[in-house]
Amino acid sequence: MRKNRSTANTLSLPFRLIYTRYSLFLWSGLAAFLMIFSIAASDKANHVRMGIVDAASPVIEIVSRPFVATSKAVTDMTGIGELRAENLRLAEENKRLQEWYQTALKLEAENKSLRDFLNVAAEPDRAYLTTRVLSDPGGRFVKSFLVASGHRDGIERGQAVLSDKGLIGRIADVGEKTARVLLITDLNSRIPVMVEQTHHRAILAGDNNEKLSLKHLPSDSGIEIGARIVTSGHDGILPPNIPVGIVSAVEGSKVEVLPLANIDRTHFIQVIAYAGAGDDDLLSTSSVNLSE
Amino acid sequence: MNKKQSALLKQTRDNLPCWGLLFILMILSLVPINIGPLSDARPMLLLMGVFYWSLFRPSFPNVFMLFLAGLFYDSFAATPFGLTSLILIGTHALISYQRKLLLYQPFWILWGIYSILAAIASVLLWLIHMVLSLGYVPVSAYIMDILISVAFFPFIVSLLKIANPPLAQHYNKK
Repeated sequence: MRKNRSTANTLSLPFRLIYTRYSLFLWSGLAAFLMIFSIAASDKANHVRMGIVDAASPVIEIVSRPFVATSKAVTDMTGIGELRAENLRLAEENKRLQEWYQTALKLEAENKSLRDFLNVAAEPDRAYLTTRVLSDPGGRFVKSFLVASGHRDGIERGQAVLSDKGLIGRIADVGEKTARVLLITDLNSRIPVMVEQTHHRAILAGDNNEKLSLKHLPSDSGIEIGARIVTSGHDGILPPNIPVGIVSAVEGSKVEVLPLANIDRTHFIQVIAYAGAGDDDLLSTSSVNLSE
Repeated sequence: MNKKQSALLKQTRDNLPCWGLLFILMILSLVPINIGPLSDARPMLLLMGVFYWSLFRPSFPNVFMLFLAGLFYDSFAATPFGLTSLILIGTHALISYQRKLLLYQPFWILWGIYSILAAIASVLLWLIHMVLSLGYVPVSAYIMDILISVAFFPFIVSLLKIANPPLAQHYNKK
């Protein structure tokens, strides 16, 4: 037995020596090859990527809990000075919204009766899936979130993702248990939008920072600071009239938009299955909180 | 158990805390910081770990392990597969090559060398990002990464020193 092991050791010695000597080149070469492969065949690479994320997500979730809790506690402590002012502002806003709520109820009833009267086709149903942000990967190349729902919960590529205040992105990759949300602030994000008041169409582009820019807006749009930007729904994937942001600066043809959602502090998101895109049964089997 | 096996077992046991710390550094790179203006900051924690271990615990980071750690990070961060592996392996190779020279240097020189490495890694990432985006990518975020990585270095190295005391005793005497 010992003799056999000794023979095996002797036989494998040259290979082990070669490996020790050239392992740096071997693994660097393999890493370079994988890099080229993942750029050239990004779809296949993303498939593998989501497989790895799916497999590792339970461990990541458990281990990251204390760090997320610490981060949240520090955020709460640092923001304690702002809380009082925000509380006052919210009380004021609540009073104003109560008045608006009554107006909205009245308008909804009026709208319904007018639609019935004119026989207007009903807007397609939207199903909402609420899920948790699993991780905010630190990669610089893609501004994204990983969320704790995937194929098994009915999530599909392209679906709109909302926070409590407005659109924050769309589903870019889907695994079995997790999905990646491409944020609207990402450099590659392009969302068809319109100015809510004037209905001028444009494309909202991310710039890898907190502000977005409005492209291809007609020069005679007369857009002003404070105008609300909503989705236009012209891509057939995102539902129309989802609030996205507010115009914060206009300099000639350059229009800056501030997202309504506080993307950095988002812990829960809603995914919209837009039935208008032909996905009627999209979220019907969801096991997570699903409401229509 | 022969001598070779027991030595290997001892080395594995000694390196266990390093494995744990490597995993924690990776997790910390993946969870949101969300602290005021630092919410978009990305300190290069893995690079700090590899820098420290390559210098003071050379038995720990082997090339295959760095390759796997890089791939795992790339999967979550949505960077091209292999990019982080290449950066980590390159750093390890460079530090290992100059280890005898660096080992006896005072802390501020090591800090400076790490800063240069972090800057090179950031510039490399920025250039690749521009190539992939087929256009200009704002450099401000990458400059922020370098600054925050340089600022975090003494803190993270102090933690690593407590958890994994350097095998080279000279480091403590300096």
